[in-house]
Amino acid sequence: MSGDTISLLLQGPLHVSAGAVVMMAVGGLLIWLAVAKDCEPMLLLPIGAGAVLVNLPLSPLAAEDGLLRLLYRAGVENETFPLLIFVGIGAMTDFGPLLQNPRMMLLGAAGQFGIFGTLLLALALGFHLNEAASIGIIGAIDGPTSIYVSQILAPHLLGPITVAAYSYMALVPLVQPPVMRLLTSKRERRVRMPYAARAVSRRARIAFPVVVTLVVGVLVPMATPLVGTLMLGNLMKESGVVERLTGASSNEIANTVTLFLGLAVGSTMRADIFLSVATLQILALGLLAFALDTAAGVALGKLLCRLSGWRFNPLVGAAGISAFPMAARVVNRVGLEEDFENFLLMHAMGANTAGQIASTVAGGVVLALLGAG
Amino acid sequence: MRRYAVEVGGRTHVVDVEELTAERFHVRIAGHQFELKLSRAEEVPSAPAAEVAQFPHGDPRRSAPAAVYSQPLVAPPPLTSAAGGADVRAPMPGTVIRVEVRPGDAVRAGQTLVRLEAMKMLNHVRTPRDGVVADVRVEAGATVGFGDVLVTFRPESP
Repeated sequence: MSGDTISLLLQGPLHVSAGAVVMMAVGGLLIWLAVAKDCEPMLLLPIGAGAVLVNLPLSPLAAEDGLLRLLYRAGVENETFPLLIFVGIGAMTDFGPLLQNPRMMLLGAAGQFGIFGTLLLALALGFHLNEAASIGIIGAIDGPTSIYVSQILAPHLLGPITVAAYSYMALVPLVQPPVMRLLTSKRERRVRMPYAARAVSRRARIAFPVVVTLVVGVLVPMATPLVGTLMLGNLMKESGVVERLTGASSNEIANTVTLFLGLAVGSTMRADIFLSVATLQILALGLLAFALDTAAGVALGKLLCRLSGWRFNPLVGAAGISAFPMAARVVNRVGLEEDFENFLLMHAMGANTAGQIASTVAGGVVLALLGAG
Repeated sequence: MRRYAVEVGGRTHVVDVEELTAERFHVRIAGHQFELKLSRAEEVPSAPAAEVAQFPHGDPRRSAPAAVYSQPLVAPPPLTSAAGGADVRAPMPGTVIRVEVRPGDAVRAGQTLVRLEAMKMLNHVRTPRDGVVADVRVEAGATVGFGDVLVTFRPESP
């Protein structure tokens, strides 16, 4: 056996780089979080697997015609996958609690404050405007919107931004309660909000997605893809006439695309791109954006509490982010800790679905401000 | 302050209502004072001619108003908790996952009566006071609406 043959057989081990080992460890960490800690397993497991597979030495999967590159070009580069996910989210979301209580829309808007606060801070840290805007979008706590916006504005940051967005989504139950408790008094947390059982007509439920699409589409054209797909899914659900399409969108298509999207995003976590100070800064800024959103939502909640004569519980403001339904559940749980008869869940669900819509609009606003498209 | 004459089951009672805000009322019935909060009002097709007073939770059409009225006039239960009088009601629409008590069980304030799933989240519906369960009106798997009675309590024992 000649030396050449041996070196041919040892190609793999000879091409293992230190950076790749670190990235495989990061991928392993994401898989561990998914498997052992049940943190967003549907997303973190495929992302982690993608990160490991792309960093294996000479991985044919990462070659130009390899599966990972193929998936990336097919659905991430042109933003198709996040939009298909949105059809599924729309098909799964019940906007009833929001329609019962439309003022919750205000809280959805407040929940996007962190985007702009973080954008300014990222600029101050020396990121370019496009990069800063993409990092700020983590504050929407909305995975598909983060992927959509950063792919257009700063594709080279897609990996860290997506990982931050999805990790923080999993951390909602840990990050939000301390901020909520810090900013509210015991009396505020104990404000009772009886559930207002207002019936929403089928006509209103069907009109809602159509009207939102038309209004947002005209006002913020850059948000049309995000809002349009979200509302298409919801229209299919509420109309009740295309149950097979609704079912396919919220199950088969959403699941398939989630796998493809996770692998493709994981494959952007190559050592040469991911291992940088910028990644650590993005992770830190994303966490800040998330805390700022929560704080802004609670602050508006406190204002509404005063304006309504102590009939609005400020905790509900924290649900104005996009992470659905975790944020609403966290609000309900923190409220029950103070008063076991005070179920804030339905109110928080209204604010939470408002946050979902608002984050897609915010994504469109950011794109429009930066003159993209 | 407005004074109403309310006739229930052939007996006439005098009810004084003081409107504090659009939704909060002080109500005096037979020397007992309550604070009522109107959490919702809706048109009832076959409404009686008089104005309909509503209880803090729920729909009077579902809650057997006669029983609610006639008992408090003798020994009014404190209306301090959100659960109102002697009943524990569904705080929101949902599905009953498990009933944790049976008629005759003695329960303490804070104890879970029913596990209710709403919006895919499991919630514990607890009793606001000590008491003895008189009746369980729901069973596992039942779909309940807001304000539906879940569990009733025996009248205060001495």
